Amino acid sequence: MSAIGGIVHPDGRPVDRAALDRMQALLAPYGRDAQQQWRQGPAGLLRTLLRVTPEDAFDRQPLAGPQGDVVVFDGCLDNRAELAAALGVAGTDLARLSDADLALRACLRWDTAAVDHLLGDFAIACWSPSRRRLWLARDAIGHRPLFWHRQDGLFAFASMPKALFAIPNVPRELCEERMADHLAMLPMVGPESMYRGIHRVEPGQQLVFQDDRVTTRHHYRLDPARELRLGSDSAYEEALAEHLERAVARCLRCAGPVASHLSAGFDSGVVTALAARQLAGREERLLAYTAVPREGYDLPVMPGRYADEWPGAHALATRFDNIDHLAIRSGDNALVDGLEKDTEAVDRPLVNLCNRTWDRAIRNDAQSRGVRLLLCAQGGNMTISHTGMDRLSTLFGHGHWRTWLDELLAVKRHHPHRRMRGLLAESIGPWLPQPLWRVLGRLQGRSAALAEYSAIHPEFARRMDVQERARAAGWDLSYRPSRDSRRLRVAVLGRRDPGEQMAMANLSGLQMRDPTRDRQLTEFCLALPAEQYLRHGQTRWLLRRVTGDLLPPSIWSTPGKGLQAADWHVSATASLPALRAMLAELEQHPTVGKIIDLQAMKHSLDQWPEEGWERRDVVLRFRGQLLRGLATGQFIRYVEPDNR
Amino acid sequence: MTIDSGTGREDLAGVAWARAFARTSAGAEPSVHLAGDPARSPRSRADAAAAFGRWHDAGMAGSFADRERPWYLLLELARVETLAGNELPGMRENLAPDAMHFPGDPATRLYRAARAIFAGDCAAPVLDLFSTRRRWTWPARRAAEHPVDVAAVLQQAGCVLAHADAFAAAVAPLVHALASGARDVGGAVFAALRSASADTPGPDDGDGADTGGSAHEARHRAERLGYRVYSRAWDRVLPAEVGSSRGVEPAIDAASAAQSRRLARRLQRRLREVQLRRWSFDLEEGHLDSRRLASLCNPGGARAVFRQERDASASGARVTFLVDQSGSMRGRAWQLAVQAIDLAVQALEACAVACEVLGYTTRYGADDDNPVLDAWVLAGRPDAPGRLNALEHRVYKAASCPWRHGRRAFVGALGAGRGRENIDGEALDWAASRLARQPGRRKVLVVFSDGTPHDEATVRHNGRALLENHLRSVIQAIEASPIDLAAIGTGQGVGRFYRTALTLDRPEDVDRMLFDHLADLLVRSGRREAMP
Repeated sequence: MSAIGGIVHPDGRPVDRAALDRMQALLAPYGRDAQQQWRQGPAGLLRTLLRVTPEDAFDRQPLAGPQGDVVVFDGCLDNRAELAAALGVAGTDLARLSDADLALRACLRWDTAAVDHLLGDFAIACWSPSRRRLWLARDAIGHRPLFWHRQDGLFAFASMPKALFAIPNVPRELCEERMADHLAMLPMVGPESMYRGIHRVEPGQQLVFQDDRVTTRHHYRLDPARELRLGSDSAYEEALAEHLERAVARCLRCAGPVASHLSAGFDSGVVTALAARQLAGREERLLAYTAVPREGYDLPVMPGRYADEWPGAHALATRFDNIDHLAIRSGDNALVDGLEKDTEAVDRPLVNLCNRTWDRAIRNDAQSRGVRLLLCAQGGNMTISHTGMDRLSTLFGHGHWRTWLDELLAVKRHHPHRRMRGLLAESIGPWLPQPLWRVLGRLQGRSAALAEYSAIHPEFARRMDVQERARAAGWDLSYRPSRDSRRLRVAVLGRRDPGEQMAMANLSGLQMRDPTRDRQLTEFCLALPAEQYLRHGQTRWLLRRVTGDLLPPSIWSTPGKGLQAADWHVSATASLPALRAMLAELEQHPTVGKIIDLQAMKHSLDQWPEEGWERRDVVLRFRGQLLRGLATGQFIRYVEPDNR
Repeated sequence: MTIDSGTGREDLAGVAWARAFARTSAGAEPSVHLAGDPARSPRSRADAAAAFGRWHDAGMAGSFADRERPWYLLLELARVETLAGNELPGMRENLAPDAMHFPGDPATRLYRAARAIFAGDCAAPVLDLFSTRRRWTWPARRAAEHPVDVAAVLQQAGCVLAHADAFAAAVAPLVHALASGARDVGGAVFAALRSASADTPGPDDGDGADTGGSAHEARHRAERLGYRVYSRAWDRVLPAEVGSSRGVEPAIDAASAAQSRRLARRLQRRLREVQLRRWSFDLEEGHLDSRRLASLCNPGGARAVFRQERDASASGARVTFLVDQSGSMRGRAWQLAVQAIDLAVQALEACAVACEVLGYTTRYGADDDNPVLDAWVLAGRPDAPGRLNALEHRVYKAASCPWRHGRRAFVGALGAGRGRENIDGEALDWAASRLARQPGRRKVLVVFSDGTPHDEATVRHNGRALLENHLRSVIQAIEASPIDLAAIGTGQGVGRFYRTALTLDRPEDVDRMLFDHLADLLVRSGRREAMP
C-alpha cells in the first residue's frame, strides 16, 4: 500500500521541489517504509510505501517507461497472474515484479485503457511527458483514496487532501454542500470532497488532464439492472462459495501476520472463517479481534440487538486451531480522546465516535503485534448477507399475494423476534405514497425527522436545500423501503467513500482489506435474484446454505444482530465534562454554529438521560445527532482552525 | 515593531531606537516620516526622527493605556520638536508646526496649540478647542464632568519640557480625558502616527544582547513578499520576566537532571561525529586530497592539494527555539513543547551550544478589545488592511543568558489569560533575523507550532491567504539561507508549511524523536559547514 501524489504545471514552469517535499512528508506516515519522488521539468510525482505484500520488496516507484512515461501506483492487484499472461510476463519474472511494475507495463501496453485491465484495490497516476498528459484512476469500489485540485497553471493530486494543502495557494475551505450531505447522511454523489476546490476521483472513475483540460469517464460502475439467472439453486451455491473463497484469497496476499475483525455477525464470521481455513493451508495463524462491552455490562439494548458478541465470535474462533481470539473490551477512555488526531488522520469528519474507540484499540494492538493485514467485512450487509426482505415488497407489489402471505408468515415463524407490523411495513411501504408513509411512521414512532437524528442546523439545511439534494442523489430521507433493492444497495455502498478510512489503517502500519466489497463478489451478489436471499422465511438463504457448516449454530440461531459499542452511553456519561467542554469550544467558533445546531446539542447535553438507552429515539438523539454533531464540529475546527 | 522592556517604552520610542541602531549597525538608515504629512520634506522628516532620537523618552509611553497613547504621543511629538527647535535653531524651521497635519482637525489643532504654548505663546486657540466642532461635543461634556483646563495643562507641561517624566505626569489628565471621550479622534491620530511607528526597528531581547534586525528591514522584506501590516504601533517584544508567572512552579522539574545529562551525552556523541569530519582543504601539507590531484598535472595548477582534519567545536553552533504561544497550543501541545525545549536547552547548554528560546503570540485575542482593529474601523475600513493585531514576541532566553533565568516564566507562559493568536510569518522572520545576526556558522531554527497561522481579525478582513502566504514566503527565504529550519508540532499541520517537520504525539517522543532530529539538524548543518 502506498500513498501517492504529484504536481503538474501545464504552463511548463518547473515543479516546486519544496512543495513536493512537503507533500511527501505529509504522506510519509501512510507509507512509512519508503518514500521517493521523481521530478522532471513541469511534473513531479511521489509515493510513500507501506510494504504489505511479498512483491512490495521489489517496489521502486516512481517507475518510468522507456518513452518517459512515469507511473505511481497505490494498492494491490488481485489479477496479477491474468495480467502477467496478457502482458507476456513469464511466471518466474512475475514473482519479482511489484504490482506497480505490472501497472506500468499495463499503461505502456494499453495506455489509458490499462485501467480496464486492473482488478483490485488501487489508485494510479500516469504522466506522459511526450503528450503532456496525466491520467488518474481509482478502483471500482474506491478502496484507495485519490483527490485532485486544479487552478491556473497547476494540477495536483494526492492520496489525502492534506498533501494538496502543502501546495501554496491551494485553498483549505469547507465544501458546504458536502457538509450538508454528510450531516444528512446522503450518499456521496459527484466529485466533491469535504473541501471546496478539492475533488475526489470517484470510485471506478478515470480522469485525464491534457491541454489544460480535465475529462473524466467511469471505467466501471456497479450495474443495478443486471440480474444473474443460473440453472439451479446449487449453481448459485457453488458460485457464491467460489466467489467467497476467491475474494478472501485475494485479500490474503501478505508478507506478515494477518488479523481480522470478528463479531458475532455473518459477514465477519464468514471472512474470518475462510481466512483461517486458507491460512491454515499456509501454516499461518490468524489473530481475530472482537470488541466487547465492559465487564459486567448487562443493560438492555435496542430491540432486535444484543450487546455481547463474544460468545458467538468465540464459538467460531474455537472451530479453528489457528485462530488466536482476542477481546477488545471497552475502556475508560473518554469518547473524545484523540478525536483531533483521528480527524486529522482521515481528513474528513468521523461518522461514529462510539466505534472509533474499539476500532482504534484494535489497530493499536495489531500494530504492537506486527500485524500487516487487517481484514474487515464492512460491505457485507449490502452484499453477501443481504437479508432479502425486499422480496416481500416485490411479491406484494406485483400481485403475488398468496406467495407473499406464505413468505410473510414463514418469516415470522423463523424470526419470531420480528414484529408483524414491521414486516407489513416492509411489504407495503414501498407502494405507499411518501406522505402517507411519513404519517404512519410518525404515528408508530418509527420514522424520524432529519432534525431528530442529524445535527444539521435547520437554517443551513434550508440554505443547502437538503431535500432537493437528497432527491437528486436518489435518496429517500423518509427511509421508506425501496422498491428497487439493488439500486438502494448500490447507493448505500457509495454512501461513504471508503478510501480515507482504509488509508487511516496505514498510519498504524496496517493494510485494511474488505473481502465483502470485492468487486467481483459485489457484482455477483447484486445480480442475485431476490429469491436467493429470502426463501421459505429464511433470510440470507443462500449464505446460510453455503456457509452453514462453516459458522457455528449459535451465530445462525441467535435472534437479532450484535450492537457494536453497546455500552457507548457508559463511556459517554463518563465523558460528559469533556463533551460539554468540547461543545463550549465549538460555540466559540465562527463557522460551526452556522452549520451545526449547537443549541439542540446543548439541549441534549442538558437533558442527558440516566436510563432508556435501549430506546430508538434516545439512541438517535444522543448517539446519532449529538455525537456525530460533535465529530463534525471538530472537523470544521480542523479545517478552519482558530485560537479560542 | 517597538520595544517594551516592561517599563513602558513604546511606539514612537522605536524611532529613537532606530537611529541608534542605524548608527551602530551597518543597516540602512530607517526612513522616518509621519503619515498624513506629505508636505513635510525629507529633511523635515529626518529632523523629526533626529529629535525623537535625542529627546524622546520611550519609557513614559508605557504608563498610558493603549487608547491614551496616541494622545500622549501627539503631545510628546510637540514636546520633542519644541526642544529640538530651541536647542538647534537650524531645525526650528524644518519642524515648523504649520507644516504638520493630522487627519482630523482636532488633533492638528491640539498639536499646534501645544507647540504654540510650549513655545511660550499662550494665545486663544486652545480655549475653543473642544467647542467648535460637533465631534468634540461629547469630550467637551466629559471634560465638563471631569474638568480639565486644557490651556493650563499645556502651560504646566510647557514648564517641564526638559523632563520627560514630569511632562508625562503633567499631560496625563488631559490625555485621560481625551482618550475617554474621543475614541474616533484617537483613531485618526493613531492613523497619522502609525507609519512612524511602523518604521521603528525590530525586536530586542531585553538585555541588549542582540537586536535581530530593524523593523525597517522587516517591513521591506514583508512588502517584497506582498504582506501588509496595518499598524505596528502596538507590537512589542518582551523579556521573559515581564508579566511572567513568578509563582508558577515548573511542572517539568520532574524531568530529571539525569535524563538531561543522558540526552546531552547522546547529543555530544552525534556532534563529535561532525567534529571529526571537519576538514580544511587546499593546504600545503596533510592528507592528500584525491579530488585535487588533477591540478598537479596542470603546469599552472595549484600545488596545495592536501587537506587536514581539525576540530570544529560544537560551541560554534547556534540554536533558536521559537514557540507558538497562541490559544490553540493550550494543553498537551504546550506541555510537550515545554518538556522538549527544557530538555533540549539543558542538553545544548551542556554541549556548549548557544541557544535562544523565543515565544510568539499576539497582544489581543479574537474576543479582546483590539485597538489595531478599532483604528482600522475608525479609519473607514480601508481595503486590504493587512495584519490587524499587534504582535507580542517574547525572549525567554537570549543566547548569552543562562536558561535558569527564563525557565520559570517559560513554563507558565501559557497559563490563564495567555495565549492569543499566532502570526507565524512575522515571528519566524523575527527569530531568523536574530539568529542570522549571531556569530557562528551553524545555525538551526526550530519552530514549535500547531501549523496554521491565525488571527481572527486579520483573517476575517483579508482572508486566510494573507498570513499563510506570508508564512510560506518567509519559510522559503529562511530555507534558502544558511539557517536550517525545522518545525515540530503535535499534529501534521506543521508539515503543510515546513519542509522539515516532525510530529510529537506523546511525551516519550520527546526523548526518542526530538533529540535524534535535533542532532540530525546540527550534524547536517555541521557537514554543510565542513564542505569545501
